[in-house]
Amino acid sequence: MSTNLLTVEDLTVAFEGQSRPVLSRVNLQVPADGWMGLVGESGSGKSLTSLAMIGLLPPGASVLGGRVLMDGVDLLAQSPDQMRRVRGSRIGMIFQSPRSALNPLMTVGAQIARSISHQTGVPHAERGAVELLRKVQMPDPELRVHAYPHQLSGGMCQRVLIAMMLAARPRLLIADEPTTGLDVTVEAEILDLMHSLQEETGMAVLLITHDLGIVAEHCREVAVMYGGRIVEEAPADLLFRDPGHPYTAQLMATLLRADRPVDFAEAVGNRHPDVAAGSGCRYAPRCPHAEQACITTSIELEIAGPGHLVACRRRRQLAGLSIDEKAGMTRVGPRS
Amino acid sequence: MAVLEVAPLEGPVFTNRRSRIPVSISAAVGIGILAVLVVLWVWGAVAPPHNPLATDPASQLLPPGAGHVLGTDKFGRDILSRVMAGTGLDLAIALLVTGIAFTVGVLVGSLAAYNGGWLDDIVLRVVDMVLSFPAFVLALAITAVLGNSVRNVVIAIAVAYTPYFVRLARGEVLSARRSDYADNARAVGNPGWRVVFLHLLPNCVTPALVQASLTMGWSILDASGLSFLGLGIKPPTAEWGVEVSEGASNIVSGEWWTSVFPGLAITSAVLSFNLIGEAIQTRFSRRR
Amino acid sequence: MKSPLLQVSDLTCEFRVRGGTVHALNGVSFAVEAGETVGLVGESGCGKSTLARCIVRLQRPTAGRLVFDGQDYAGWPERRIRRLRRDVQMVFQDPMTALNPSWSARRLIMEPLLLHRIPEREARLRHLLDEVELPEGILNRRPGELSGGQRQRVAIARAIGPRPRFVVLDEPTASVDMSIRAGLLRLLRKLQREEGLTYLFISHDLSTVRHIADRLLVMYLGKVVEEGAMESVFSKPSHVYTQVLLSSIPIPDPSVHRERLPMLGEPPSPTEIPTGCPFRPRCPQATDECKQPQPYYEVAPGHRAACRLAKPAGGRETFAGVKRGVA
Repeated sequence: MSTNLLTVEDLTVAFEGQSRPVLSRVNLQVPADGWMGLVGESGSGKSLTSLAMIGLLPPGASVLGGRVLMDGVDLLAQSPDQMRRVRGSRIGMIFQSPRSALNPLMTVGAQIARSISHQTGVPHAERGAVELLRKVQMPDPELRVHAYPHQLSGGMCQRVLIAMMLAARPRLLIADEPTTGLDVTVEAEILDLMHSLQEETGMAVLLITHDLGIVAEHCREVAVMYGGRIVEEAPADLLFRDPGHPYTAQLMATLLRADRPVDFAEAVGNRHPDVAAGSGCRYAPRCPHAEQACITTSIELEIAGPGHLVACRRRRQLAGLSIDEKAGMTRVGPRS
Repeated sequence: MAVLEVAPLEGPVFTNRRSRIPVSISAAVGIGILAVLVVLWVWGAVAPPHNPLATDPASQLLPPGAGHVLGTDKFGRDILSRVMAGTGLDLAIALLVTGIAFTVGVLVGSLAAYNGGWLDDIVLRVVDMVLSFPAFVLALAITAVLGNSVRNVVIAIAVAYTPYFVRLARGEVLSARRSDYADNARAVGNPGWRVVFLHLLPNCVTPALVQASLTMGWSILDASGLSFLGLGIKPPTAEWGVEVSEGASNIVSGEWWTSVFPGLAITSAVLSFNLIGEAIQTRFSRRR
Repeated sequence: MKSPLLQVSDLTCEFRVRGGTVHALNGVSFAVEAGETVGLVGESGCGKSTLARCIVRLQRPTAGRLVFDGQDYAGWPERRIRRLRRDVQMVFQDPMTALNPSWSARRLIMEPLLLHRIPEREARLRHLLDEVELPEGILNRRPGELSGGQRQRVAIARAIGPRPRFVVLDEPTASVDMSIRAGLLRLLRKLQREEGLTYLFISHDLSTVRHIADRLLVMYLGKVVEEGAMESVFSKPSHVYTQVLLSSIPIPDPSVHRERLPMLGEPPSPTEIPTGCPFRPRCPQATDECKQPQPYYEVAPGHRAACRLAKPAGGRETFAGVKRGVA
């Protein structure tokens, strides 16, 4: 396994006025090349984790503890000026809703040129902008370079952002739901583009998404988040084949595949929805295997195998179960 | 049947909450002043210290002191009682004007926005026309035509302020009309009027409430302004503008209390409605 | 043979916008039989949302027929449409915006029962809650106080309250978390059986549609380019666009590798519809023949595609409005 480019250690973030931290001792190791997926549903904290990594937490959120190490330096301890230099040159980021990330009053060519100038110090980098647009497979780049963001489709705007990011040649690209909301054909094109660019530049990609399909297609390692914590980290094929954490198993059990329709599943076993997940495992209220100890005390990620980390008190007992059993689901027969 | 979900894990990830005081200081001041005015109104209606219309040649222009807490005017009438009576009249005018302008304005504005077409065009033109006059000037002109009475003052000022509500309601309903829940309300089988009055308007009412509060203050200013100029409400009726007008000539000779106290009443009333309006605005827009 | 519950014939819908006309629907024809679930897929600009809005008459079509239970309602006045709304309902995509944020769940579910004068409303309300698997405690809550899945269930209860016969579902699982999605589909299927509903399920997500629909319609730029039984379309996609679409779907299984079929050029604009096959400018296999309007060719019983490559060796055409023959 490759060395780690970026390590998040025990990151804890809270919003002011809230008693419970929204990110709780998050541990993540992003490898220096290849794609890593960070998976979670809404409210899991995955976007916030990435924002904390690059020092762009929203107002009201503060880091209560932990470190983000890159090249031996703790990014959280850097000054805002130093972080500004890190952003772009060492870590790049692209977001969902690419059009809203672009300045509506400037042509996309001007924005890319600015990005180039910012990184290389070369003024008037318009020629370079056309080249970058060509590199991101924008149709008719010489024409498009003069277009405004509102004249471009969502997929094209995302290409512009990728171009701007390429200008800086970062070592790590954080992509937060970059294709959510785009058509599936456009999504496939953008991700394939990112893949070829990544192979060419040798950078690492942290892909944040809720879509397990694109995770399976593009990511080598995957980390799963729930309730502000990382609950499992594993190589992709192991995660899909034999997940260790009941939440991951639940995600896998409720997957819908276009190529192979599955029978619907129903939840079995007891849940404890009334239990306020206090200091224990955040998944306990929904977990079919939760015990008293799970509710009262939390557990950190533990090594369950090579490259495989699981944060579950009962992982050894659950180890031999099928995915459906771990998830506490049973198939209810054919779809009709 | 086991339901997998529990209540939402957290609120939305990027909640940005500021401190949670229920009422801000300015709102408290506004409400406080209004409370004082209401007390004066009731007190003046039930048991005023003196009859506000009773003249007393022996007690003319007495400074504030025992017997007449705020002094007397040039006719010997007790200023405090007159201010109390004026409170009742001015607040009543404000309520009437705001009530009419709000009701008529919101109704017309929302129907125009929902139906569109020629109705909307006509309403827009009329509103534009009326709004091209400053409100006070318009009220002045209408009062001059209709004659001087409380009723006509109310009508005149209400006419001047209704267009603001029309435009406001129209704007809100126009944007709400395109929303998903408006579509949903139609798709479920609601007739147009139900969509407007039961679904759209309740969600649009906050800006109208803010405007209503401001209108309360402005209508007091306009009514007292009219009577200060000698139009609308005439002496000896106890109304703040009348009182300021009657006492204005006395400032030069040093008897400041005859116009300052009614003037203060006007100022505090307007201030209180402005503060309340602002408080409604911040409180409800933050919640959205 | 029984006539279909809903028959859409040659439906056209255009909007004037600044800079031209949007041709959202260009002659769409299909039928939905009582009791079945028809899936409608397509990407942005294909017209599926406009089609949904036309079917529930939130939008008036420019031309064509919409026949429900033998009656053409495409041109009916609003008053008459309100009566139709007891039978034809819609579940919207995002319940957060589609449900009035200041109304309680109780009021939201009760309203259609009041509007359509359903007898014994209280009993029906309790029954609905049971059916959509919601606890009574949610009745006093507003949409913002519910989870995504609960909100969508409220929206579903609101739509099926007046016992409609036909329900248009516009991306009902799009705004809901993945782990909840399958449960919602299972619920919809169950409701269909128990309440005798017919569904038109619109989605951009083929993985979802595969698990709920019996038949599939594929739309591109305002036209149906392929139609057929779900298994048939998936095993034998016959229009090039369908093939591109199916090849682009990500499969959540690292051991599966699929080859993505590319398209030419850039996404189309519904203001300029190409002559002939709407997919022609992007199709890697387009020829001059594709500049002519393409008829539907029958690929298998009940499965047709408007693509020259679907032409069987004998060159047999079917009628443009294919009748569903052998079951």
